[in-house]
Amino acid sequence: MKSLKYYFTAQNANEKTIRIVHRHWFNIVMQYIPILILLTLIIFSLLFYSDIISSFSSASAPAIFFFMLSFLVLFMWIYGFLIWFDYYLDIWIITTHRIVNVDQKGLFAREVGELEYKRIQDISTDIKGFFPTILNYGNLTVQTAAEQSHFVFRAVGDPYEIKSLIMKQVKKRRQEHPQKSGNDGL
Amino acid sequence: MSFIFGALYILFILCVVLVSFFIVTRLQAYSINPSFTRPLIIIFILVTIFLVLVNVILFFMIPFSTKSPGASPYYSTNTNY
Repeated sequence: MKSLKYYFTAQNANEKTIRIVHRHWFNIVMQYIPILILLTLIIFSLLFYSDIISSFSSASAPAIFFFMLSFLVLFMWIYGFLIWFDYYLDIWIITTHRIVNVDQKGLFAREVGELEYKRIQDISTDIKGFFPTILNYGNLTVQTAAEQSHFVFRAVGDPYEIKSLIMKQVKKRRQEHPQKSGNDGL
Repeated sequence: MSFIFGALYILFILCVVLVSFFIVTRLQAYSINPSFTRPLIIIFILVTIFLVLVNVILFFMIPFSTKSPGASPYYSTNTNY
């Protein structure tokens, strides 16, 4: 087992982190497309700066032009960082004891759920579409017997590998504690 | 008119500062790898400060009033009444 330098709050003393799962990189690239389009527009506007300025007869046109560019760059920087922030804090932590799902929804909403291996009944993977098939990413759903019936790893890379990793941990956990999970599925 | 622009601009800068503050505090609080996020936070703060300063300087360079001071009788420099 690989020992990682990662840690999270409410981690047990003898609990080890096996894997930190983020969404696939292509998912974040797709979110950056509007920013890339805006950046291309800024570069083109700088290339054709003299043409743009000459089309306005006002003497204050250059000052307004550069202010607007600076405004857009600032907006793009903050927005780009927000996208990355959401991606970075949206994680699934696979430990020796459980799975922790941290769902960051913007700046002011965060949901943290956890699932012990003994409660897992079924794991299914779902890869749909052209890019997910080529790049091997998709959803992984962990089914439980409790009220929280679904536990979804959204757009994660190599869901089959993660599935086998979780199943391995479930088997290991059940071998260690056979009396507690005798009637469960899997 | 320039008052409205000024007020809206102050609001925008306040929003930028608040969002940046929340990004930094949330990252510090919830990061699972602080050794990776710490330098990133520093870079984010420095770049944001630089971009905000440039933006503020460029805002003050915009000549909102295009009227020359001589156009108004109150600001007239002509003393030969």
